[in-house]
Amino acid sequence: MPDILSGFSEIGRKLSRLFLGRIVVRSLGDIHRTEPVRIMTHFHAVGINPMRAETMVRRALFVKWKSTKAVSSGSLLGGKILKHFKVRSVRLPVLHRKNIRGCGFNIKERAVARRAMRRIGRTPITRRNRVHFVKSLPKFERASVLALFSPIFGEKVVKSTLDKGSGNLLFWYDNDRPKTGERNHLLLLRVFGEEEPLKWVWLPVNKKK
Amino acid sequence: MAEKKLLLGYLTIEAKENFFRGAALVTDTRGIPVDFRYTEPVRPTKLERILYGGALDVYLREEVILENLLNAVEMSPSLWLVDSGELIQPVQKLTKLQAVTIDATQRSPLEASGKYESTPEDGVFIFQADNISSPFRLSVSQENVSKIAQITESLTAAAMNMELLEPFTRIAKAFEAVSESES
Repeated sequence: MPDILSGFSEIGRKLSRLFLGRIVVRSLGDIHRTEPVRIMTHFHAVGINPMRAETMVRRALFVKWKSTKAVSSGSLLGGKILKHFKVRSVRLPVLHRKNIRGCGFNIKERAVARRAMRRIGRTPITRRNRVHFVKSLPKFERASVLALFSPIFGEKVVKSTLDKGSGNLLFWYDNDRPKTGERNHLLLLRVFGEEEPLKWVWLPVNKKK
Repeated sequence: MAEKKLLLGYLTIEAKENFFRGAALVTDTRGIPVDFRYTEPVRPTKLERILYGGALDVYLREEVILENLLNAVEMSPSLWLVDSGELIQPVQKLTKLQAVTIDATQRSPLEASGKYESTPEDGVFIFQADNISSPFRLSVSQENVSKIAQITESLTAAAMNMELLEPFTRIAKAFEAVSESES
């Protein structure tokens, strides 16, 4: 029986060779394949390493761990925290032209310059004590110079006062008086042995002695 | 032809926490006022502060207050004395006049009034205005460095009859009086 079958298969092979041109390729088995074929990939496996060191919280001094409940993030987001937020609907107004207000930049108009001659006329003129800068002070018998205020046009002064806090002399000129007169030093003297210990003395600027 | 009378212009701009204001005082060489102008305090709104940002300060000083003041002053001075170096250029640009700053120093006096010395700083001089005070620190713009002799001559002439820095004190007192009357 096997011979008949092998005979048929031999006839079939020959006929297919004649009519179809097929060649039977037979396996040589493992006779010549002594080494297994290695298949190498062109792609390397890429290792992804984090740029920063992995942070591990070991201990936090400001947290009392014992009193903190350990909960998963899911339970926090879905359960407890979200309950505190209420989403409310807000109806937005439709922006018509009448709803948009113009912002007029009229700063320049707000900085109005006013003339105030009366006000500045009422403001006193100040003179500092310059006694320390005068090289040769005039000499007075039984008196010493405490302060020297200069220059002052004595004839124009209508009022004066000594600011005891600062030691400055405050005075007002009569701006309407045309006559100016001479420039003066005004000296404050300490007089020794007299009932009135302080004395004011006018001295022309160019006549110090 | 009569010589033009020497007038000094004093200009100050005050920037407080929530408002800006300025004043210009023109005096003769005795310190007697011939013109005085001041602006009402300008209070920028919150919206203006946001929109102008860092430029608000310069805009208010130079374009709003300074322009309004200088346009209002009728008596044109020979020289402007300003209280801040930042005002020198804008004042000169608007008025076409020289503008300087003077500040008191603690230095020992120079040998005579009218004397001046240059310093390592550009446009800054030490200047002795009179014989009974310490010298001033005088700053001028670069284009006026060559005119320093003329500027110091004018200031020396004025210092014979007045204290050069005193009008700034008067402006401050006038501001106080305005504030008191408003409150």
